[in-house]
Amino acid sequence: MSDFRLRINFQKLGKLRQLSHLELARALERCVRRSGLPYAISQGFSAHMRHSFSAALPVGTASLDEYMDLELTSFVPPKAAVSALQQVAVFGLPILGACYVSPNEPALQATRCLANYEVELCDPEHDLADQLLAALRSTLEIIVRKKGRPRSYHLPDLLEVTQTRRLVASAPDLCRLFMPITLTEGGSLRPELILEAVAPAGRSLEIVDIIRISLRAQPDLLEHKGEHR
Amino acid sequence: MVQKPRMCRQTETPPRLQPDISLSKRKRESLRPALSRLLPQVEKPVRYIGGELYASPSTAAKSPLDVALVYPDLYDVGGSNLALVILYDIARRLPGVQVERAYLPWVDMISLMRAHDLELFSLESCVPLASFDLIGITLPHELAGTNILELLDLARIPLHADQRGEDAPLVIAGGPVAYNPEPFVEFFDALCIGDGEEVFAEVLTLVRDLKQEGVGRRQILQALAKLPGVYVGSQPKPCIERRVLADLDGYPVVTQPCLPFVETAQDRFSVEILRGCARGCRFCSAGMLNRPVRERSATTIVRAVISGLSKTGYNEAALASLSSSDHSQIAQIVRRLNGRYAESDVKISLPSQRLDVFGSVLAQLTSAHQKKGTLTFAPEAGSQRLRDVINKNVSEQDLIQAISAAYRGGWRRCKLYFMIGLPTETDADIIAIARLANLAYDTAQEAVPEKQRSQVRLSLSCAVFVPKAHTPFQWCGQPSRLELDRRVRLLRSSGLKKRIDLKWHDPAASQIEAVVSRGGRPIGQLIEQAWRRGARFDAWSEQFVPAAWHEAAQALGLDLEQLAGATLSLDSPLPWDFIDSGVTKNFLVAEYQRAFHEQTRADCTLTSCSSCGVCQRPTIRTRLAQSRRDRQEHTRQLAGDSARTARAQEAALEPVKLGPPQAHLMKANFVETGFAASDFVEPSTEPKPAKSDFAEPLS
Ligand code: SF4
Repeated sequence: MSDFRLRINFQKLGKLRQLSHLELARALERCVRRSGLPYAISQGFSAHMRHSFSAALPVGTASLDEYMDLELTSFVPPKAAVSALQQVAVFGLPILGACYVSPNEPALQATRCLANYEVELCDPEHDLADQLLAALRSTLEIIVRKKGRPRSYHLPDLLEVTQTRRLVASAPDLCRLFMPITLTEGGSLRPELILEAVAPAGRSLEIVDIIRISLRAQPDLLEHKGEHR
Repeated sequence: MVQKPRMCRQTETPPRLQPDISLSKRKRESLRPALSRLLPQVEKPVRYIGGELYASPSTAAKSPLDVALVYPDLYDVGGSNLALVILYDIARRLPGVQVERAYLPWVDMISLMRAHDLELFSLESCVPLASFDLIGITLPHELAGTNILELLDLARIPLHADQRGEDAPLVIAGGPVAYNPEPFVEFFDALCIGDGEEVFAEVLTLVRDLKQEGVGRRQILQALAKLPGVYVGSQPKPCIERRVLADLDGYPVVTQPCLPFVETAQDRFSVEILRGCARGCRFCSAGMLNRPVRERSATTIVRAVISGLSKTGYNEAALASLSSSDHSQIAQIVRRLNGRYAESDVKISLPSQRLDVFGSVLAQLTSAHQKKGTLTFAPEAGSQRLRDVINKNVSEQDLIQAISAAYRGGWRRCKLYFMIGLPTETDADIIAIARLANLAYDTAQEAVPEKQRSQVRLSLSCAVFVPKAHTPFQWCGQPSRLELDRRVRLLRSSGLKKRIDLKWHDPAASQIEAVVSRGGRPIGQLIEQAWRRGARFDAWSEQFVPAAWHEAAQALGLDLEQLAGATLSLDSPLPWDFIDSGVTKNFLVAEYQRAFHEQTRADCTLTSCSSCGVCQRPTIRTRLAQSRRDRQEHTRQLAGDSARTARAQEAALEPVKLGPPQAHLMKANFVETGFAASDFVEPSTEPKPAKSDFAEPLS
């Protein structure tokens, strides 16, 4: 493990929300290579860049707050690293900031985080949002099919208490739900799966958009967040 | 994979050609909102979003000439196509030209687009394809015809050039299959013959200027027909000369290609290190149609790789060409690049290697990561006799040395390409394939330390011989499908070691390839009728519907078996006679005759000119970075003097006396050697061989 573990904060926006986790990783790897940063490579037969990512985002989900840990072979001031990356970044995957974290810190995937999702869905009769909210607050157990098999989850373990809803002024037929979902190493559930599990019987959900708006952890994933932005 | 029956297109969503489309110009308006609604429902939506680094900016504004470059297959296949990379670069440098790309969507997306009335769009600006002024489509192989109709239909552009109105885009084709343009001529307003670097900018500039002057479609086509290397079906010319880029080294390498997010077939930075191959394999159209050999210099290549890798961020650079190991400075290039990237995760790959020059030098030079991959060699035929017929100019000893060097050098996986159905092939030649593969396997086993022997992998990939226009074998027929099936069964029961993986091309698809490859205008009808019966993505084994083609042939009164299998007489006129590839017909005839006398012809870059005719044009000549003969000497010393080289040199020095061809070899039918079809198990319950990608290993 290298001594210089740079934690990079980036976003996945617009059309690029359609990238899968692998495609996103490949795009960022190329961005790192273009930037000329002294990235570390794994030893062994097939050398590859040493990096890791925060919990994978599904295809179609945008994010305003993503993290990548990149190991460097020498120290580069975070500001210089961020500007090197920004110069070669792809439109839609902007680099926001970076800081060094201790090599002993747990991997991003292993860090318990709270992911705040904003889900936008069609609500032409203006009743769905309330029904979903009530269901989310009262349901204890949900059954979700994962890899073809039904699995049961204790909802209060996954979902934090508060969910607010806001009607979008410009599009009155849409509603937005804010869903803070806990991510653990053992995995998590995607917001649409939770919503589908609690949806009122007979109503199909038309989800327009899902954005991960923030990823929170104790302590913060990126120290002094404002500093390098 | 078992072939799924597919319904005819008419019973699915019908293709719809908008009758009014030719009357008014389609507006350049964004289809993005409609597209966004469909994306959550399709596999890999990233295929349809654009937004790649180095792609043209998205714009709603019209430019003097809007050009769309289209690859008639999935983005995953065409996204890294080197020809399109070059053409895109040419177009984006021209003032007044806005260039964008489009690919054929996958079947799930096509169904949704038809169901939701969404027409085919460009990736960059997501505007209708029909709103462009010019659409350039590459014809990568013979099976792409139905995909071209599928994409024109999806784009709501009339399928036939003569149905397109004043405002419809000009649809122009180019690429390897355009050298026999007749089967496709009705679908295109014009076809470009030869190197795109020469002709494409001329076409775009001409159309841009004439459009700006307000000149009509007919006159534009007339003007296009006057350009050398351009074929306009409605304005026939007695002869069309293939355009040739004289100096590849002087032509800049594109170091900023669009960077796909999708993992494409060749997901790496590619530099074309040389163009052309003068080895002279008699079945190979690429070898005949890309002469003479033109190399880039080691310094140009090394600089291009360094610049391209730093601008793209790829972790692999491919030294691409028809035969990369033939480059006169290949050892130097690989050494310099491996030295430069020794301490990094960047690999340098050499996609096509000749087994006779894969000396121990190259094996050592290629980096360790690459050895995890599969090394491929193409002996093409099992017996020396048949390799001489096809002019492969490699010996068994060459193969054994290459395999031994490769496995000793650290490789553990090797794939050997063979072809069945070649002219004069007998059962003995088929059995020889199995024998040679077994020998290669034993050699590989011996070359690795005892403990690692279980890691040795060897696979065989058998293509079917397809007679191609402009090759010495253009007059030869393809064996019937039943016969090809029998030969495949023979190969499978010829004692091939169990641990050798065998895959083969589907003879049914190869038959269509043969029909299209040597077809005239009526074959255009066949393509259209097959498409109307549901054929598309014919190069994908799980999508290929032979019944669509057979029904189409029946409806048109065509006999596919006869078209593919006919042995043509040397003096019969051929539909592509008016295309002058540079290689003379006399040379092709001479090569055809030498084939049946089992006489080889040496590579002109290693010996002397064999008068194929290409270099008769002014400025066109073989351009090597340094003499290949020195390098050949060097390789020979290292790899041990091979019988092949000696034979090739003899062949070059000795004038060939041609007597009457041996009667039994000229016969199209097959020489039996004591095996009958009933000796072998019917393969009906077996997995269908994958066509384009050999995806299905047969156990
Ligand atoms: S004309 Fe001679 S030198 Fe030129 S490609 Fe043909 S054989 Fe080679």
